[in-house]
Amino acid sequence: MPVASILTLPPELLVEIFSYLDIHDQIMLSQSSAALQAILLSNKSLQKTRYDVTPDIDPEHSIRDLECFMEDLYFNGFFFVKNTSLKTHTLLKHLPYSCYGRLFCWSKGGVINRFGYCHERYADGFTRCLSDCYIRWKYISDAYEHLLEAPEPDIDEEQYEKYYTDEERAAWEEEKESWISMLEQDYGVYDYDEYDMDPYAMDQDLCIFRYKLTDITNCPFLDEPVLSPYNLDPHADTKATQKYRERCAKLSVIVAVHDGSIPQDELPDEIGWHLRFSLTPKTTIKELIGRVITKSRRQLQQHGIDEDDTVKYAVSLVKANERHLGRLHVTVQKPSKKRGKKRGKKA
Amino acid sequence: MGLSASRQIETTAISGHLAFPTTAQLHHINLPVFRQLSTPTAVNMTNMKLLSSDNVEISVEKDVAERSVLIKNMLEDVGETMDAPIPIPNVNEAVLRKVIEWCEHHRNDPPPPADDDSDSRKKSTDIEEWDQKFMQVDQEMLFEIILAANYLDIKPLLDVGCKTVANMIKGKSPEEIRKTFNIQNDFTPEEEDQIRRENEWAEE
Repeated sequence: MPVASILTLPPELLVEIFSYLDIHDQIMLSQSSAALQAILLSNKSLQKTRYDVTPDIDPEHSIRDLECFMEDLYFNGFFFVKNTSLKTHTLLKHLPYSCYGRLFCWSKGGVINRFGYCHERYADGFTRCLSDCYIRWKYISDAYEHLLEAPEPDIDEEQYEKYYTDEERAAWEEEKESWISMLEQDYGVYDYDEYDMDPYAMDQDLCIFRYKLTDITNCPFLDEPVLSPYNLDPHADTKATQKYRERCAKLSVIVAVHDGSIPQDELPDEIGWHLRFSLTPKTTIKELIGRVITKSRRQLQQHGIDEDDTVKYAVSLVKANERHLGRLHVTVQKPSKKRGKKRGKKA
Repeated sequence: MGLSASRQIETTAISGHLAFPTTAQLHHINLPVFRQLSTPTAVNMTNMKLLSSDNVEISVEKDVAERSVLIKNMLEDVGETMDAPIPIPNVNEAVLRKVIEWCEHHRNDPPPPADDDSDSRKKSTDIEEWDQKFMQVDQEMLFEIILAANYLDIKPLLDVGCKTVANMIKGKSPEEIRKTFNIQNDFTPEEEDQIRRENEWAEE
């Protein structure tokens, strides 16, 4: 059977063909040929097939610069929702006011294979996607550590109604108020609208399952302009870089796996679970995620979970052994300089 | 008749492909067939002929040929049906017959939406059973059909062709894609190093 190179087709037809591929297949394709990769990465319409970004997204607002990161890492957490528009994908979204606030990750089959930034003014649209999500969280004593308790992620709205009693909701409201009060004390007045999103915020626990090493590390699309990190030259002696240097901090990560319902007092022993490394002005989200993933993978393997195992298997293993393999727990050593940035005002 | 006459038609190369003669060109071509356009009695209203790039005349019903927006527009511009072969300068006989076969099967299909660029179209790679069988050809023919569909502006056929190729890509590793589509690994050593480094970054 004669074989003709696909490259004989003009680029506009290749783009038409590639538009039918999801991001995973586009990644595989991009690794087959530099010429195809150039087409995949340069075409704006194809970008839209990979990221759920709005057409008029302003790359200037799609930053993942360190300042933003450091400001908000205290509240770092994932949303975990079903993306209603992309049936095959699960949308992972961070807290709206975190450094990842505009970073959306999709997972498919337990694999995060999409990254995208969204302008903050479109965040509400994504928030609506969270309507079938659920959350219970507790405020723990430390202002910089909070625990998000999470039941099964696929619970729908009807189940949600059944899942929580009025008493539970009232309790949650009370917890939320106390948390808000604490935050206001530390950081000033917050916009309550932001906190209204908090109930949907969860789950640093399950998300660790959904990182799969190979799918992220080989992803050329992380380098697309919309995802490019905003890096300052750390050696430049400018006011801006000085400001960044002051905000460098240590990041501590405990990586673990559990079924999403670990009680507060059963946090795993931190010995051997910490990953410490310095964040510098040049630290990219890619590096950060890579370190976390690497750590998590090693820990998982120590507990007999291979990276090709499914989330379902990992959770079942945890349940079968009646133990928690740990949890992902991210904290930041507070920088010496007080950072009490106000995020908004009450309406 | 049409064989030698068609060679007088000037065509323009655009992006390496021969462009279809414009209506204005057709009007100015000094061919008997076009002069006959003003004499409706000489025109066959149901059949017309297409002339492939390798100079083979193929008879086709008008409504079948009009699945091609290019031909349809051209006929509308001319205002009458032509009984002389319409040259299709960059589609050979074999491909043209395949395209006509597809058009005959889909002759009663509703016209596609004017601006069919919705996400839903992009996401679905489902192909009708008949179209799947139709597209079971060698790759060279598949790509030729896609090119012909694009040239003749037969959007549904173009979609089927693109979906077919997309389905051939799906689920394959880079190496399998290279083998399937006869693609040379054109990454430079530096680029391959970069890919390796990215792996190492996560493996540290």
